[in-house]
Amino acid sequence: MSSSARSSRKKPKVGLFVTCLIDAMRPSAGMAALRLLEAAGCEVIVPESQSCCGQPAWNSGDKAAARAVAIPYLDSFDDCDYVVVPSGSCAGMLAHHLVELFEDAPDLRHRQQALAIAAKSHELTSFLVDVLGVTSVPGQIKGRVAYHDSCSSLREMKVKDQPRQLLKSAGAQVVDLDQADTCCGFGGTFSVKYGDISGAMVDSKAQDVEAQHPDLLVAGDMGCLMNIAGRLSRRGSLIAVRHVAEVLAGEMTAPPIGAGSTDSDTNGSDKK
Amino acid sequence: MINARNDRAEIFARLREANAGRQKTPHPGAIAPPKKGSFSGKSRFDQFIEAATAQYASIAEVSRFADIPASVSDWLKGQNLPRDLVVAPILSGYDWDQIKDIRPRVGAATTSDMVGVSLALSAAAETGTVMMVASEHTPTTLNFVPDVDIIAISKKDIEAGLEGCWEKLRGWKKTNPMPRAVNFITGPSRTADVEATMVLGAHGPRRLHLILVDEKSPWPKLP
Amino acid sequence: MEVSSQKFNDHVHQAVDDANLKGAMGKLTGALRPNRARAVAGLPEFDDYRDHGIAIKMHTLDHIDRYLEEFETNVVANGGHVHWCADEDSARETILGLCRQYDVKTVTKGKSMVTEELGLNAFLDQHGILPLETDLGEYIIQLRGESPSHIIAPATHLQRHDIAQTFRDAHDHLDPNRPMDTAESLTEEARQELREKYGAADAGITGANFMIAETGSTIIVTNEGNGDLTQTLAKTHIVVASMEKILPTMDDAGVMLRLLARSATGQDMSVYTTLSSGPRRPGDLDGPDSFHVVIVDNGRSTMLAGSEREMLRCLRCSACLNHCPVYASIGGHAYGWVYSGPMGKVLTPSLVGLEQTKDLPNASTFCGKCQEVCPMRIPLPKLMRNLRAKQTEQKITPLKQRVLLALWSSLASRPRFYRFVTGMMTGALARMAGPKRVFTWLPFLGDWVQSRDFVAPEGGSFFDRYRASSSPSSSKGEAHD
Repeated sequence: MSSSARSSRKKPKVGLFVTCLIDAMRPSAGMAALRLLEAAGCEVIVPESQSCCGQPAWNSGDKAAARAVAIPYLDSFDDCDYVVVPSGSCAGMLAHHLVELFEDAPDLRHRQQALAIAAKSHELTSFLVDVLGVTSVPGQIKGRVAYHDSCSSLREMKVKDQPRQLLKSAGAQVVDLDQADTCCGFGGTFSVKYGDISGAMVDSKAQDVEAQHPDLLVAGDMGCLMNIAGRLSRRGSLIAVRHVAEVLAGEMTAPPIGAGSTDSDTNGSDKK
Repeated sequence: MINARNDRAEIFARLREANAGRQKTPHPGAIAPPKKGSFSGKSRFDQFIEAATAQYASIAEVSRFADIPASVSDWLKGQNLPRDLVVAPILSGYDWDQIKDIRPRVGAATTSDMVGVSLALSAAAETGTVMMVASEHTPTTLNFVPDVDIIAISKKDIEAGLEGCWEKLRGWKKTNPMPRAVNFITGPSRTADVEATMVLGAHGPRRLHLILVDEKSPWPKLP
Repeated sequence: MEVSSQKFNDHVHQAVDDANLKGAMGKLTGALRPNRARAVAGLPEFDDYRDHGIAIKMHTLDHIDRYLEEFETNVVANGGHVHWCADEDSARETILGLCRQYDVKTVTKGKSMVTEELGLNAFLDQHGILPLETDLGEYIIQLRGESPSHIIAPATHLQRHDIAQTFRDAHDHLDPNRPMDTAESLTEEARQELREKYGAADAGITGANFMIAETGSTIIVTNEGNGDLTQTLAKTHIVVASMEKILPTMDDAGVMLRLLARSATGQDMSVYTTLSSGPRRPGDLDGPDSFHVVIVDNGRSTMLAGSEREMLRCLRCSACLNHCPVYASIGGHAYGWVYSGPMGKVLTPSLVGLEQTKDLPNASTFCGKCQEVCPMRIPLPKLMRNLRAKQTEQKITPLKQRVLLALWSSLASRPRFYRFVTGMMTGALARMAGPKRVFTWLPFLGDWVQSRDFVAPEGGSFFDRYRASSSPSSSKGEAHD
């Protein structure tokens, strides 16, 4: 494993923002992200005063609720060099919307903390590639790996080549979906408020995935993964689904997300 | 009184109030034309031909405006198209009577006219577009009513892009009223309203034929 | 036009199962998405033009009164008339008044979305004036008694066989065995039907993509030629224009024109871009005798003053509709008014109010594709979010939703307690799911499980594992609340 010989000799200090979905649904992906960052030479802390970035309330237009949820973590990352997030949408919340959320907040410190966090927040794979210059990862994987771009990753966090580069460095044959830049239909509460539309969108996405005959589908966002895996499962598909952190960290002992067959995972749990 | 209400004062009051005290955005000025809209010389000419052809216009070239009647006749014959034409007044002075097999008349077009012949004031090479003006010399209906639209343009009047066309119009306005209509035309009419499938020949002309003339155009001199 | 956005969920329910609609939408997106991509790739300066166009629009909005005045002065100097209408009643009455003045019995119409706002056709009909749509898509939906489902391709929700059936029913004077199975034959049939109608009309009504202050001109950007036939052959030309269409100069229009057709259909230039500047001039051999521009506010001045100001940049190109996965799934009628797709989700509530349009700003995943393709970079997700915030403030959001969100946020603002609760729930779910690893049904998640399985959580919280792990930082005991 290598990471770039960046200027500072001391290890970059990274605060891991776990995200509520990883915490609730797939802690193993959070652990994989942690391992990946440590393997890349970071000192990683995981502050306990975090639950959710506040996006569900923010997107619903309830600023007060969003602030209440964000305040507990606003000062948790003060002495971190970076805040790294294994989710494009949560990273987008921190990097782009937190400042607006607290822009007219009564407490000036909150505004300043929001600015500070925004300035140093990164999505996981873009952090590894764009900031640390990582070119190889602990995980090893063969076979066809389809990568799904979450909308926030693509459009807010400019994540596209980075996870693909890292997957390739792990040995994967990365395949793209035909409609790679079309939303999977998750959209947080949209998936339950507008279940009809969400269902139609995720069905298109699932068919797009199946058309590539991948051995594995990965993405960097837990919401998309739950959504697409849920539809694949309903369609009787056996395509395995994992968070990209698991694959890159070489931590694939946990069963895939949803019903996908562990047999269809390519053999990739060995670390280099 | 068209309408008992006259909302002008009310609307302007609301607009002014909405903008009161705002930081105003300055006008950004002019932007350079894109590369495709900046050619000169032969490149400009080639760009015009390429762009117009890509939009399904057909093209012929002649040296002089006096050659137009023969060129039109040859083209109509070759395309097996009707020979009754309606011609714009500004092109009526050429020897149409000398050409056999065509039956020209001068004026505006009616739905009985199958072929119209008119003259463009300007053109934009960038997009293969010609600019027509409504005037006593060039009735608008010639370009929309007949099935076949034939437009002559002097090569000297082909601008690199729309910018040149706007300048031409400003020149026109110095000694003429603003034309009732200025039509930028790029290819024959079309629609994609049925299953997003493009069909040439919707309500306007089915065919557009451009005759490029080396000679300066007969438009009255503009400042 | 009457608002039926209140029935959004019912409309959606029908639309997602409509195989015919799905086929039609597939054709639309299959053509227009690659077309736009190709056109944008063909203009390397496209992004510069976007930036420039945005500055022009925002400057114009800042000085909109001045430019509208300049426009009016020049229209009048050209021999035309300008009428100012604050709302749809005023606009309808003005247009009716003009029809009375010129003894208008029949009207041909070019496509105009603002006349749809006014419900103009039905209104004229009620007053004994016959309106005839001439744009092919508008003609088709007029025959069917439908409203447009797309802002530039009104009949986009129909497939060929639908249109053929409509023509079969409406054109019963034609040979029933005629060929009607191609786009060409259907287009030709409409052409022939409408041919004589332009000259027979007393008035032609067109819309305006832009208005130019410098020359007192209105601009239409079309491909079919019907808009030009409409305005040239009738005796009276009436333009109905919403006021935010104003631009300062011809060159400014040129900037917008380089963006508009590329974003809409993927053409570098539409077939016909026409500046109309008044009635026929002395010496002209054709053209209308009179020219009237009816300028409509109908809610725009309120948007100018409020947080929806950026929406006034909209060029009505339809790029956002063509790229929106929600629009592609449900079609335009589901939105319940004139404007659909992402722009409709902002414009409709802004113009007709939030009460009747509760679902519109909410039925979005904020994927951001709309903003990405918008030539004016309108921040549509942000504007939708603002409308959601307004709904929260005005308590338009359903009570159940507000309560659930309040409960969730009071929990999530206490991280340790939150994890305790969620850890227990997910632990229970993980045990329930067992080896299957998915749920085909769960209470309270009916809208999810109707089309998807719900993946089982692993159980427990990340922090449990983290603390138990051999990670260097966890053993340091970083814990603060």
